[in-house]
Amino acid sequence: MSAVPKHWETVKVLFEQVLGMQPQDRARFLDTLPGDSVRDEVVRLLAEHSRASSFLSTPAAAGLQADRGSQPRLYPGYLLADRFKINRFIAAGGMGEVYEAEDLELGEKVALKTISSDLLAQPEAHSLFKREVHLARKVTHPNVCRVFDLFRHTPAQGEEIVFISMELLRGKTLSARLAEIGRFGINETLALVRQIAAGLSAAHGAGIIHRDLKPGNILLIPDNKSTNGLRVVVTDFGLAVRSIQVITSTDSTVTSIAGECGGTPAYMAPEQIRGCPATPASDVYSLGLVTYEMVTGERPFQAATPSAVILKRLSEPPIPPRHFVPELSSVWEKTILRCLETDPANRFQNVLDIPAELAQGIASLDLRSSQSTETQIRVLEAAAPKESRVGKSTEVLTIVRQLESLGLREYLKEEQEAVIGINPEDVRDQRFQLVFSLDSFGRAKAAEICLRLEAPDFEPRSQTKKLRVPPQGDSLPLTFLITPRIAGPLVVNLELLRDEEVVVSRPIRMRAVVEESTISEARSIVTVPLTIVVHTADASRSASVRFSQTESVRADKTTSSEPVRGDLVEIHRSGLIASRLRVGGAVALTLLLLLAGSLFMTHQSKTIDATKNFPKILPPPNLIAPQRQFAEKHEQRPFTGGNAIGEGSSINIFAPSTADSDRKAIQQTLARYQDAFARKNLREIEAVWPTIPRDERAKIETSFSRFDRIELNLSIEDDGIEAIGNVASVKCRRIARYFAQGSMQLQNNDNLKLQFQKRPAGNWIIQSITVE
Amino acid sequence: MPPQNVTLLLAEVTKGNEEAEAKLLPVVYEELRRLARGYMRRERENHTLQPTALVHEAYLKMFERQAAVNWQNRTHFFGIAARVMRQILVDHARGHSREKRGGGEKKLQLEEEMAFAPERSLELLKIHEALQRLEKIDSRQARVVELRFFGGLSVEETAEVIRVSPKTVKREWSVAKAWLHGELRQTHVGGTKALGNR
Repeated sequence: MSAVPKHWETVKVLFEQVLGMQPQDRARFLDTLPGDSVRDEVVRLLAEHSRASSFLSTPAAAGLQADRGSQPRLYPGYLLADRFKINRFIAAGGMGEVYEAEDLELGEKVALKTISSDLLAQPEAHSLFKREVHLARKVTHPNVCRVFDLFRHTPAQGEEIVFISMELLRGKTLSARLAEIGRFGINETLALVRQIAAGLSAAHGAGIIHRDLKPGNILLIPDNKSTNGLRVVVTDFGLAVRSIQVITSTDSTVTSIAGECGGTPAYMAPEQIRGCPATPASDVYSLGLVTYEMVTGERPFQAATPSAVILKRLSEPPIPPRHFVPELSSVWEKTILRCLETDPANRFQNVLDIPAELAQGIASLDLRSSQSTETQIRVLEAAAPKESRVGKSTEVLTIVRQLESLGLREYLKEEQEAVIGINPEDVRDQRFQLVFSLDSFGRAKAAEICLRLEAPDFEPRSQTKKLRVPPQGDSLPLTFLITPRIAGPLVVNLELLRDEEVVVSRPIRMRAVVEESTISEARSIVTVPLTIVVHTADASRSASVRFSQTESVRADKTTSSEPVRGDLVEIHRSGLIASRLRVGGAVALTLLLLLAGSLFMTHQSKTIDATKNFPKILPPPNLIAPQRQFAEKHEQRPFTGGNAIGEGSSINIFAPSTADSDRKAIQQTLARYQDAFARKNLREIEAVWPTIPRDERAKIETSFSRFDRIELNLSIEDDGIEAIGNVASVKCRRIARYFAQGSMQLQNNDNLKLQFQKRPAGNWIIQSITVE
Repeated sequence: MPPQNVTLLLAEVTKGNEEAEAKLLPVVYEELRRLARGYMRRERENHTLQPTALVHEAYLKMFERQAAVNWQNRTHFFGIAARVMRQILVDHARGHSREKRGGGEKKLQLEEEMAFAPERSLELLKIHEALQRLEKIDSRQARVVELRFFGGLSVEETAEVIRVSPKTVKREWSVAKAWLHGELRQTHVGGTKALGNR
């Protein structure tokens, strides 16, 4: 028992001072201290400090375990085999417990799996495990959890602990994911099944049967390198060997199997249940069950009790997956049911055949036009002219659309005669891509096309059109009506919205050239038709997309001061080849986007009411960024992407009040706001935003001084209010890109973090403010 | 106890009324224990008890609907809850079936639902006792350990409760950890000390 340290404050100060030093300076510093009890205590504490890294690192209550007879035997800090220090308990399973531990020898984190003593009590258990580990070690595959070694640990008291060291993986189990989302789409299912099968195949190649494949043994690990952002890892290879034998040897009746099995026998093949040796076909069966559950969210054999389920599995055919998901393709159903054949000989003999067959199912959805599943996504490209003319006689400018495989410029060069009124040079280099994704069943998701104008003298400034893909007809003209009061730069920003979120945004800058000076006194109609054409993937290969010039409409200038009225002009329909094909209830579609930038005046006699085409989503008035001012000041500025935020522009965003009394309310409201954002619920966002208590004297002014720098100035006019941040100057090399993405985050050195979000209406708002 | 009374008590505690704190402790104790048991029943996959979640939930249950409770009260509550958590956990580790508090004797049922691994119980009791010694040397430091280790509070939350900067909390924490580690090693070397009533 140590005595109460003397001069405790001095000890603390010195201790902290030494800790802050480089290790090599510490000894020198300590030497300068007088050799008294203070120095001794500092030295002692330093030594303890170096040993105490993980000490107290988990709260006391974390060691408290539910007492179901399954609480972990090992606690954080426990040292196993003089080498592994337990960090935390991860899970308990039928085999034993899994812990995260630190390998002190190699300085790495590993997973340790203890083998329960019940299993070890079986004759020859040790040698069997040894053999399995020996085999499993040889499998090095990204989709297989690495097994390192088998260890024994003899504690001071109690029985020997046998454990296996394995790769530590941080992710969710497939069973947890299924519980969250219910079921997967076929594309995601296929991506996961591919990886699972690849892992199983590697193991089969090494002579290892998994024997206990189930969603709980499949880990989904976030991984940017993988195509779908997930690395799928199959764990516990071959380790189920004993648990199964325990089950089968204990009792031959089915009832006792369910009772004796530590884990769930729900995914075992019939021959395993009967006690026959497992083969690769047994894993095929299990993968079939897993796939079934991924696609349908259900299990193919359903009964009230586990033993009844097993009985059914041995005696009845599974419920066909299409019973639960009618839109599932027949190929998928056939493939899954073949995995579930009771006789192993009737199943796929190679586990890799499963994803291959399933991929066929998706390909056939796509009219067999492609080998790749990527065809579920269509990239549309379009471009716009640089200049348009506004005047009495208006030239209809271009529409550009090219086939997926061709670059835009190439297309224009080759088919120049098809494009009227535009030179290849007139087309901006940058292609405009709209990506429409189809859901797992080939249905296209609804989208919206928004046209925004950043020129102050055109009205309205923004219009959004709902875009159903596929539309009812083969083509869908989207006509936007805008009125230029005077000619000038016309910046069109075309955006694709999905669920009220900007998915793609691309500016199209045109210059409207005045041909007659009188134009400035009149209202004119400018129509920018946007045609979305839907046709099949096959057709897109052979279709020659041609454009014919629409009749230029000669019209007298309109003298009416009435609200915008104009002519809806459908153009180029004749030149489009479009068709649809139905396959298996799902429509596979390629979307062609035709962007026609045409500016012309129309005669008043051919008018319809255009007001109903006006934007559906209007920004709340207090959120409108003063882009108009910018546009007026900087008409000639180059356009950098997104909206009219460029050099010298600024947006004012009202910051929440910083008064103390409001903090809690703000936090709660912001949480709601963020939540609404996360769910992309625009209505709710708009409802919540005005309720955020704010003090309009506190403003965050964001200025975009140069293209590579964003400056944030929090100006607070009232001295009584505490500032939450001063100036953040953030250098961003690719501001334009951030804008195009629709969100950005800025952080200054004081840990003031601002998350911006671009609204569909084009202005920016602060999504969240965090002060760390 | 009706919620209004609990709120009044907390308000009194905030003002520094020790009597009110003595009255509030058993109420918080009961609530936390009840919640802990509920957690244990619900949490099937991960049996680990999250003290922070527990304390927050207890707070919400007891005070959230009371308009009079403000930010400071909440901070105070965390301070009390950490003390109570320590009491609960230490009682639990001792395996006491009875605990005197609030003037009456009630059966503690926590251990029916959950248990520490035996080695962990022993360690917890050692920490508790070493902490009692530390309290005599440096009470603020001991309080930091109580809030963080038993209450599960973060550095920032701890800093708010004892009204110092997070930096100070970190500093005190690292000294206390080193000191306690030394204490525990010594008791280990010298053989198992008499623990509690055992």
